[in-house]
Amino acid sequence: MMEAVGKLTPMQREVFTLRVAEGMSYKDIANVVGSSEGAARVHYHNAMRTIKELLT
Amino acid sequence: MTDCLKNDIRDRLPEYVHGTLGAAERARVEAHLAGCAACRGEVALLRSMSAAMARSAPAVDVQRVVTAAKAASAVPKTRPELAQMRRPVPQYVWRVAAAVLFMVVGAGGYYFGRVNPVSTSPVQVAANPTVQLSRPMPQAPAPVPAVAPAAAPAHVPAAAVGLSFGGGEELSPAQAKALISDLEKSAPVIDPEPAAIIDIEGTS
Repeated sequence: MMEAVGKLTPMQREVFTLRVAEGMSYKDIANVVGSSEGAARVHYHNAMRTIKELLT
Repeated sequence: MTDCLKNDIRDRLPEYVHGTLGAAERARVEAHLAGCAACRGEVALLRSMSAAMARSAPAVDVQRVVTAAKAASAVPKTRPELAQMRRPVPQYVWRVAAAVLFMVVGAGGYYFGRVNPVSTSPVQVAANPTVQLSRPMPQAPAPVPAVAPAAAPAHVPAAAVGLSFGGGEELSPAQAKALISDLEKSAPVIDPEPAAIIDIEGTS
């Protein structure tokens, strides 16, 4: 499972970790990573799709 | 696994797993989970991922990080040069400056103290014997016994004026005149060299 996380892009990994492990909102994640809230949401859903594909 | 098309519900699943949703939102998500196998599978995946990350990742106070990030973004950005100028001066700089100042003042005071000691004139010393001198006073010349000046005569006759030649004897004007004439007589008469005769016309 952590190997799948390691295959994400750095931005996807950061957003996904903050969202899943810490339960942060998209707004707070956007402040941390320096992006917009919509971009953080896109990064999270792309990361989730990649991990699902890698785990199946 | 086919993704659920209800993105508003999927966006709430991480908060649902962490238990940070409000009561109304939580009830809405649970109602959706009851009929959506894909979202139940995603919730299970999120729980296992969260547990795995909590085991592997170092403990980070994320709330503190977010607060710091918000504070940093609220501060207006300044030029790097100005930020550098505002840096406090390190403490060692002040210590070095104080040491240099102390050495300069001490050396200057020592030098000027040797060159120009405390000005204490003999008069001041005589007036106040408790004054301590930085160095011994130079030896004054032997005191000359005070002699009461003789009353100078108001009029000195011209005849009393004479010549003295170091022998303690004084010559009267007549004697001096005789001596001068004797010297003129005894001295050889030196004729001036005759002028050369120049024969201009060649007669001689």
